[in-house]
Amino acid sequence: MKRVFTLLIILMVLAASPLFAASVPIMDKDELKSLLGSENLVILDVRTGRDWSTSEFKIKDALRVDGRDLSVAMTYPKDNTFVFYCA
Amino acid sequence: MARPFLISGSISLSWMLSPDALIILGNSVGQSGIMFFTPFAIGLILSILAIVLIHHPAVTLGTGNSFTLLATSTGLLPAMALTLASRLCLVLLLPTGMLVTAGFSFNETFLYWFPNFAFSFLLLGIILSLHLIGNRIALVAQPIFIGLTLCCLLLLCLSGLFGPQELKLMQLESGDKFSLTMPLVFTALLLFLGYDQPSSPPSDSRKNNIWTIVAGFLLLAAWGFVSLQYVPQTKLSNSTIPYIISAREILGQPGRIIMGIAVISGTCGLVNGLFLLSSRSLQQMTDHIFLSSNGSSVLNTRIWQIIFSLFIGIFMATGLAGSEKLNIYMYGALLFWLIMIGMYCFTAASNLQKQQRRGAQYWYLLTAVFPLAAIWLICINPHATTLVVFCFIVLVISSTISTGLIWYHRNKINKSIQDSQGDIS
Repeated sequence: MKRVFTLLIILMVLAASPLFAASVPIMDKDELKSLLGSENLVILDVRTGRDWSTSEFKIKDALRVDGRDLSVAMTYPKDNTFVFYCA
Repeated sequence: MARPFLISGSISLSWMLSPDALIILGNSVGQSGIMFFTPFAIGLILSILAIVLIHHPAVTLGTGNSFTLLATSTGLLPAMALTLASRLCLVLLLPTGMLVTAGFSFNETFLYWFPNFAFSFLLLGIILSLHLIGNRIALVAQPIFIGLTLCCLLLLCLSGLFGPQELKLMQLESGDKFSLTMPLVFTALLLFLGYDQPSSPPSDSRKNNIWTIVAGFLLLAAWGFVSLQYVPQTKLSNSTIPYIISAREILGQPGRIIMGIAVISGTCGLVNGLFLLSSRSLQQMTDHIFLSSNGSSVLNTRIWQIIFSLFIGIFMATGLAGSEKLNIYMYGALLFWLIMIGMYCFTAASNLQKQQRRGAQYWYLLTAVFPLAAIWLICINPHATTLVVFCFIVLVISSTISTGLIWYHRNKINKSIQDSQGDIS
């Protein structure tokens, strides 16, 4: 019983973990669609492996970069809008 | 009579109709155009010859414990190491990758709001449940999964062939270089994997497996041909999802939906089929080594499916699917399967030679084709180094486990092994 209880707590913490990332604004597809074509928009596709290869949706003009190395973002002016496509 | 054939046939087709086999096919026809069908047919002939040899009535590989035959001809340690390497890599890595593919397919084709990862876990849970309810249920489900995939692909092929698109037989580009043919024959061999399991009744294994791969060949050839009619070759060869692109070009949105169903049911068929195939092989291995005095298995067959699901779940949860290396590892698993078939051919050929059958020595030529194909495919792979390192590590791990198991149970090892080895010497 104790083990089950511990497991439940771990699962709850894991499930709640996205809340800690709440400070990062999330953009839905309609919002992104309205921005497509604007000059200061930089879309970085940080999906890797099968997350990228088996997905049918690849945003046009998106830059595919390694999510652990975002140095490419430094090459753009800071006032640009950076959109990270991760799932 | 028809049901055992359907079950064994659908297990044999589980890899052949899976999404990743469709990627290999799509990329290959994209690379060499209509020329691909020649190496594809050669691959079929070589695979049929392998079936004729492996399921030879005089070899009786299908009637008893195929691991016992493997162990008597190659030795216990190599047989164990290769069985562990081949079956575990297959059953752990291919489902990990393809469940993710099915998850994306469901998310992007059917329900945008449903998380792809949750769907992958849901499928894994459903397949594990089928096995936990009973092996019989899992066996009955297999023809349903593969039958659905087959129907979807057939529907798309027929729509493509009789659709509005004008057939452009003469316009097809062809990579008419001989240098292209050889690697493509070996690549084609990969597409037919799955015939190394006996069907029921075992005496029909040869006939059933031949019919199954011929049917698979015809369907894949038709799909490759239709894909070439609708999608430019360059696009097919470079795409990571050539099957979706072709389906979309053939029937638009309905085509995407049909292909989505084919991908999901094909993935279920692959995972279920590999669970059945691998657990059977591993069960035969453990039975051979640790058979209890009363002749019953020491391990419950269900334990294998639980272990497989646990590892696949861990792999998915720890992000292996997001790793660029997963595709390389999956390719390595297929190469191990190819080598395993080569070993089965060797076992059968040496058995025939022992029985002094006429022309038995010629079968060794066929035996050599499979390891040669694996070596060639490693050499031409752009990630050859990683592939070699992966295969080496897997072999070291499986050999270590095998040595440990043999040493730990050295006193309990089935007496029949020594008896059968004594007969040979």
